[in-house]
Amino acid sequence: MSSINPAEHTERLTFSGKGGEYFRIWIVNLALSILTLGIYSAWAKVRRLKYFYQNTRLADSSFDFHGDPVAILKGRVIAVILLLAYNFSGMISPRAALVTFALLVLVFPWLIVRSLRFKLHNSSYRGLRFSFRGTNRNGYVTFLLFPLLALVTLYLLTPLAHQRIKRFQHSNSWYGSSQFAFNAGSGAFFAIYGKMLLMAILLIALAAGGAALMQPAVFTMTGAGQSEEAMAQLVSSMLGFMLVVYLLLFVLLGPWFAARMQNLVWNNTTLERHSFASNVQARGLLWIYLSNFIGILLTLGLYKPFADIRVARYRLEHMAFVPVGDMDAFMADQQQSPTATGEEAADLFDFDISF
Amino acid sequence: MDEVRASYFDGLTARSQPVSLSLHGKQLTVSGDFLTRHEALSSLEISEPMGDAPRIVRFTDGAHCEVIDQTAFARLLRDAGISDGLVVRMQARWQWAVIAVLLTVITAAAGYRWGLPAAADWIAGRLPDSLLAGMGETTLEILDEHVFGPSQLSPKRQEGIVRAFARLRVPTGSLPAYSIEFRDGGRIGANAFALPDGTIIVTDQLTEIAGDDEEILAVLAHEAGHLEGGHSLRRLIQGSIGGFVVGWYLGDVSSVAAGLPSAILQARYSREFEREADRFAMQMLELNDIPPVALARILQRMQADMQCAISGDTPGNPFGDYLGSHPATSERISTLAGNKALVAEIVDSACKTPLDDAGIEEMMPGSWVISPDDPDHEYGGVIGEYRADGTKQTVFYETNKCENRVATTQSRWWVENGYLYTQLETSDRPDVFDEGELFKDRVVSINSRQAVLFSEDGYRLYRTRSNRCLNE
Repeated sequence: MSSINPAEHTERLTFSGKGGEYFRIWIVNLALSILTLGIYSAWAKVRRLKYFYQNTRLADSSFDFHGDPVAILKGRVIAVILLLAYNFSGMISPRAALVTFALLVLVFPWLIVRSLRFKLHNSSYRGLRFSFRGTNRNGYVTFLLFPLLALVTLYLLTPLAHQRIKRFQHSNSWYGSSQFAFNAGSGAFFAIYGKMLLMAILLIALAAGGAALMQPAVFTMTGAGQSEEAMAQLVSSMLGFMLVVYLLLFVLLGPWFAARMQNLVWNNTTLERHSFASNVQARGLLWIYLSNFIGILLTLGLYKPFADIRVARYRLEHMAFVPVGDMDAFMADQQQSPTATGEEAADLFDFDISF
Repeated sequence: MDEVRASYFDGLTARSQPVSLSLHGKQLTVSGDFLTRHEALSSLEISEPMGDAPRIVRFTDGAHCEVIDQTAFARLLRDAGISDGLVVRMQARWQWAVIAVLLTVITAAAGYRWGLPAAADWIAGRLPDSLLAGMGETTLEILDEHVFGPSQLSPKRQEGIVRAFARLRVPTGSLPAYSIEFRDGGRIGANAFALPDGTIIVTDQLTEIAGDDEEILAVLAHEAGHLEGGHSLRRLIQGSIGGFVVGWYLGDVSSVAAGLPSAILQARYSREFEREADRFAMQMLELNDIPPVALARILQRMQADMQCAISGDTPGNPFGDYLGSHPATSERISTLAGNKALVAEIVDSACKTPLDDAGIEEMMPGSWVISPDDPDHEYGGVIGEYRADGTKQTVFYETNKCENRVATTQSRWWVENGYLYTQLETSDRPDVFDEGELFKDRVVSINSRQAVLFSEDGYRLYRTRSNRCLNE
């Protein structure tokens, strides 16, 4: 669709964040957060987001984040209360845990919609705010109904639920007075999930074959004896095998999936006549994830800020905006002047539950 | 006056206009082809420096400027008397980063060592009793469903134990409200637990392996120590908070990695709780003229019972000491008893269910040496080769590095009722070895790597499967 105009050019996103620089911001803010028993973490989050937004540039202008730390703090307090409630109800009785879980499930879609609104209302580019205008009703359909549907179909409809979530997020996003649109159907999602399933089966088969070659003793033992020790040994080697396979799947397929998803989602997102291009490579992401994981483990987490920067750089710099005509033509939404948006955002809070 | 180049955005369209910024007293002047603005410095919001990111000057009406030239803009700000905030200055220096790392590590360590237990203590003291009762009931229900069976002890025996314990004097005056429940321990075997609501569960197997009632009372005193310290509740709370913090810190690294450290963190608290409960039990026992060694005896019996039940696979587990819920039992026993011979004496009587003879017979063949943790290890090297045909050749060396052969003996070996019998037949040093001498060792545990035997004269023998000496 986007190649009608031969004169079109692409504007690549660039990212100027640096690991060492961000490390200092991260560690100073982490120390302050710990010293203030977590209260400062809301201010730390604003600073972190500002660092990433302002260092992301498109066509000689950078993005900006305007979130109010107090609103983030409110969201964090709510998140902590919900988590503690869930944890403690589990201690009281399974029934109490079930009730709390049900309540959490019920408020969750509402919280996600709030959080999406907060995030976009507080993001800007070239002086124009983004916004999210998805309704609560559609939020419940997307974040409750479709996941439930996936659950009752034994995850067969997970790709559909995923597609609905992305469609809800992208097609309800606005830049100034321009609305984004999302054009990927569920078929493409099913294709990615299907391929991943095939690769997972192949990997498991390969790993099982490898294990059988390496440890024939274990397999013959099960055939021969029914002794408890043989069973115990089998169970423990099975557990070890499953752990290895799980890590393999996680390490190899995780980046592949993330890369394909990002490309699918952004290559099918448009902003009026303009479009986006994403060409993240699974191999590049695999290397970054793997080395990040090792680095973080070896440094007990101190490598984390460097890791964050590397991932952000790779993902952002493999994306481009494909404008058709003049980018200056975007307008602020007249009904929502920037200051009014700010006032409205005051009753919002960010619900941050990344863990 | 210096001019700084910038891009101006009016907040109404996405259009970028080249402008220049200059300072006039307390006012910033923005001038471009189509606009000129004079703004009071105090009305502006200026973004913090964020590396190579442009500095952003925001106006009250939603317009803003982006400044790429960092150095020129910094000069302009300096001229205007605007300085960076404290946090920004800290972020700019590596010294502060190092200080922040140290501060973080120290605070985290202190929080783990003192803060978390104190917080758990505080919370535990403030939870309503009804909540604790609910927790206790739920736990017992789950255990009854999956692990325990109804107790086979006579009501009279149960009551006798409950009464005897109630008669004991308590070092703190009185115990928190408690009740004692008896259950068939099932696969858990001999053990006792304290639940948050004051329920103490005693398994039938514990009363069976106990040498006398004083040992049962000692275990009850230990569990009372857990109740007194509110340990099970504190463990739960610390687990929740610890897991939460670790999860938050490692967050999106991987959920796999996040679960493991909290388990390791718990183990330390666990050991501390056991020591605390042991101390309480010792005080309580002394107060009632029961020798505290009774607790050591029953602990040893419980450990032996466990080892017999799982055929000794635990000694090879390098994480056993860190991850076990009752870790470092031997350390606790020696603190309580202070006597190794006593420890050995107990094992024999505690191992009620002997390993089956055929199983031992199957495991024995091969070469065995004295394990490094055996007291005999330093005296000399011995390699005993057990053959499947019931013969055994033993080679004795002068040192534990297997240097200078001293003697070689030929014996016969067999297994009967859980005992390993070895009878000496011939040797090349008749002056040292008595022909026909019979050794009878109880097999406490044996697996492919290690064997623990208990000798007739009261020593615990550790043997490792190897055909070479295990010298360091």
